[in-house]
Amino acid sequence: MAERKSYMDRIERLKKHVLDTRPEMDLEPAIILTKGFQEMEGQPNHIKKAYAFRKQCREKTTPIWPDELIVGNAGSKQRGGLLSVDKCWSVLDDELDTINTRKYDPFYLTDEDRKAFEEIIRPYWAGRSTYEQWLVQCPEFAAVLRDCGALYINRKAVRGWGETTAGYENVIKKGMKGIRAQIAEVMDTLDILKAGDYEKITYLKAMDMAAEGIAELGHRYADEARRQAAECDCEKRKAELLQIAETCDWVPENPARTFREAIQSFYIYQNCIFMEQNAASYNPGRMDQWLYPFYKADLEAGILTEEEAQELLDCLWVKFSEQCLFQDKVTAQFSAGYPMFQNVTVGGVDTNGRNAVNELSYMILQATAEVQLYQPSLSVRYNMAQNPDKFLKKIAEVIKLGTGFPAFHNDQIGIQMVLNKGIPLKEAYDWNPCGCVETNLAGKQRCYTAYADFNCGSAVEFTLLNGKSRKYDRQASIETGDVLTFDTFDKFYEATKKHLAYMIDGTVASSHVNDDIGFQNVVPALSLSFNECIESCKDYAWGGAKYNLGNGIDAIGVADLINSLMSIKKIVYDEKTCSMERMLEALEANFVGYEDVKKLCDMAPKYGNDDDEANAMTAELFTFIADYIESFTSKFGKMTPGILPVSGNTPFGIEVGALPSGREAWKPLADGISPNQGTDTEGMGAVLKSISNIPHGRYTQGTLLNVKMDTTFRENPESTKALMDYLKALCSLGVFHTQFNVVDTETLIEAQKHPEDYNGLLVRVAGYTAYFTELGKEVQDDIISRTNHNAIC
Amino acid sequence: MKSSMTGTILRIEKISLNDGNGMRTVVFFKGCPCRCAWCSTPESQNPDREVYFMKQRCRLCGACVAKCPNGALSFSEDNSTIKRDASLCDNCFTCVDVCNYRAQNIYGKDMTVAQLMKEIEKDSIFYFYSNGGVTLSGGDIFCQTDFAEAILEECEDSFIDTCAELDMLTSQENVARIIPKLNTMYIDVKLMDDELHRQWTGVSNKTILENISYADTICKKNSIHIRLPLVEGVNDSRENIQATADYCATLANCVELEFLPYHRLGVHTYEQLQREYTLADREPMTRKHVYDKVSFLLEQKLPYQIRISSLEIYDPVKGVIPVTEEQLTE
Repeated sequence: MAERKSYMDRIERLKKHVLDTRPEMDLEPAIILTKGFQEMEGQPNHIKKAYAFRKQCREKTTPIWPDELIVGNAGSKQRGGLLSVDKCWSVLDDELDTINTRKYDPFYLTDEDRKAFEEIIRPYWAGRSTYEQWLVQCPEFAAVLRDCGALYINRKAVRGWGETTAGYENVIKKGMKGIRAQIAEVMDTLDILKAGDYEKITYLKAMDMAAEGIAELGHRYADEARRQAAECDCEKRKAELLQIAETCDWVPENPARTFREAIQSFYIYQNCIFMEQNAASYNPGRMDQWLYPFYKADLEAGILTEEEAQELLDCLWVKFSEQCLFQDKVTAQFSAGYPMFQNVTVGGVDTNGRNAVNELSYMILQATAEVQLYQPSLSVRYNMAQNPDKFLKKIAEVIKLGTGFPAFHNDQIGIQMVLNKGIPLKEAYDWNPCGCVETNLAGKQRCYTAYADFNCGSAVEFTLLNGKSRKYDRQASIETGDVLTFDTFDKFYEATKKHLAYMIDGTVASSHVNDDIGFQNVVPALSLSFNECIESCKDYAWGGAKYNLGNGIDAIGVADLINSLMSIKKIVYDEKTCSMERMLEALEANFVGYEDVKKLCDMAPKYGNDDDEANAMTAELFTFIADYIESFTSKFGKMTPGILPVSGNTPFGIEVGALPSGREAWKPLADGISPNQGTDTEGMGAVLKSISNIPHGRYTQGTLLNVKMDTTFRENPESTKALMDYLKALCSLGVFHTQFNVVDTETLIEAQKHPEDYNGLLVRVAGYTAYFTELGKEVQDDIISRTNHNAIC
Repeated sequence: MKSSMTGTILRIEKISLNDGNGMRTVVFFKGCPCRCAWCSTPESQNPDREVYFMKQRCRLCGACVAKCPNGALSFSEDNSTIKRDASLCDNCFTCVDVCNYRAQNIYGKDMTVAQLMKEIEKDSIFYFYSNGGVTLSGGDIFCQTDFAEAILEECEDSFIDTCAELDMLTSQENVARIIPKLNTMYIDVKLMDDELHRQWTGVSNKTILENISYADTICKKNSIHIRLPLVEGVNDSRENIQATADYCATLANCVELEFLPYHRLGVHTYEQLQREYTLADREPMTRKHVYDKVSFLLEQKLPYQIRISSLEIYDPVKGVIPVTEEQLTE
């Protein structure tokens, strides 16, 4: 064991402060925003929004908590959940009585906040929010599919943009001063007498107001630090507070000069974009790259030591875990655990395509190893051709700590994904993981990377029931014919594809409506870090970014789909050991009284075991799905496929009856591209071989594989090397991503029984890490039941 | 046709780290000439496929009892489980077919050389990155020498690294066919005293020791690893340990003597096979127990490495390797 670092006491205190704080609704920003809109009646929407944002910057409380070196938050509370009232005020209205106690991600709502909601927020926003427009405008056939649990298409209507990587480097390097100068330069080229320029002028004014607000917020934190310093008896803390004041007086207004200023500038801006819109997945991205010049210069100048730099990173890491994502009760099931999905990545290659690993890459991995909280979502881009083994070894060592981090990304496939979006190679080299496993480019890309999900389990059910939902006993999809008339497996297979296509149709149609409504959801504070948004005087919402893409559409239940089709093929058509009539009866009865059929289903070949036939079907079907999704183009570009469930496999499972795969009714579907729980009997190698049949590079919004290993894995002296070998094999197979849970099953079961003893227990849910005890019971059960691999131990 | 030759395989374990270099595919053959009292894989002893019963899955529906053509199955007296009369069961597997809950199962599966090679080749990418390969285990592959030889030839042809875990009770001719094709071998030397060997394993060690000495003359250089599964009161005497160490020193190609602490992880398998486990009263050993028993060897300047369940404690070049209490208690 290395010697305990001197700053770890501070980090432990900071952590405790966060862990001891319960998530609460924080309506301060929403109240200020509402007043701001009221003061700007008659102005264009973007002026109202920018004015209200600046008002938030000017009026919000500026708390600085004990021991902090990096300051800032998006509201008034430490673990607050924000509400984007302009987008979806009514989400909270629907849950006023239940928000404190709901099953997934409860938030405490104070009486005071409830009163403000009823007296200030509701009266103003009723009838004005875009969520209300969405509910009315959602295409009917998509709404039917949604209501039958085949689609989840509401997610983007109930929170802000997110799912993007702001141009943090612009903010840090130029400061708000530089950005305002850039805005002024463009403003000089405009002429109100020229058609179209009026809108541009007002938009630039809006952006400038936002930049002004961000700069002022820095000074307000400086004021608060000075106020606390004056009252502080402890000389050491007083000095720290004065240094905070000095830092915040300079950034984010001015270009950062030091490592500390760069981090502080970034973090105030990060909170500003959360304050602008409650949204998940604003991704810091490649921090080891954009912080490195500051780190190197400070070390050379002798004004920073390695240990001080590590302490600052660790302090920031605790801050990342403060903000809590507020979502409605349904959406919360799809991504449970309050995660803000702030994805930080290290490693990969530079813009010359060469090794980009530097000292900070290791220190950032170390920050996660030391702090062990659920944010940031730490990812690595591992480039097998370029990155050193030492880096891979560090990755393996941090994985073995069992926090679920880092998520491992095969860099070469990540680059391939970005290329497949139509982005040139030189820029693709600079990609970063976004949210869970989506691909992104800092300050350049606009789309919902995970716009909506479709339920692959439903596709099988619709084929069996001629388009009906079993649970709702309602025609949800198209009629593809009575399944009893299908005399060949091909007919069954083709019918399933038709339902998949119809569900994708519904998703695309809803996406077009959301794109249209989304033009109102302007975000000047976010847009000001996108160079092209300034140059074109166009908001992020209007397609101002350099690369505008079609939204991401995610398949959920990959293994359920393949396993069900394989079962039907083997049992009903190839071996004829069970008739289709009997299969239908068995499924309707949820296998009760049909145990012989259940056995046949269970014993049919399963996805995840490197079975030739299942592999071939996987490749064919997922090529079809990618082809079909990519055949659609939105206002912004080609639609983009992905396979990441977050935790959506659980709520989708609740909508689907028994399946021919042997999965019982209403149980969770498989997560991501992972095999069905407990069916991957051939071990971790076979899982990789199986999933390599999905054309990963074409699923440009990422593919997600969960692997859980028991704790004995950690103890084996060979396991670091074995894990490195395994990850290299993964890269060679063209698999994109994997993440590991290394908590043992016994611990999880204990934690479920005695949550009070397991406050800080982290588990990888799917694309993110959450506190196990804060997850709903079904999600907990799902994690417990994932096959416990101990092959590498 | 060699590729259509059939063998009986108990199971295939993939990405194993404990059976040779790197990540390995371990192929367990059915059939073993020994009946070691401590055997942890009794399901590998019978050369043929056989039925086993998983009590926890059984719902006591009685289908197997009703359908057994030989009347070998019955409910236990307290109706809590199903019993099998081994003398009546002829392994027709009717019970397996009629059991809807997969409580009645089969150990063993017939595979052709081509089928097994296909399984082995599936993991070639893992062999590549970890310097792994195939380990033939059992049972004992000498119960199916023709099949094993065909597999080893195929592996050699595809440059797949080969290793085997051997008991060496076979003809000298079989030894000559198999040993030169192995890059690494782990050979059990259970007891040096023949009388005791017969008592605890049911067979003499005379042929075994002769075969090992012969193998030493025809094997690849430095390819022999000797294993001694150490069981209290059976083979853990100082005399036996010394005799084994001395024997290893006579083998020019022996690079390692590994002591394996006795464990009872196979006990439930005896239950599944409805067989008696005769060592039920023995305590499992830790590395620490083993260390105390074998550490007197460390000063003998032996020409090979000594390990306790993969933990290195002595190397002929480096000398005694210090180990921590923590490593020994794992």
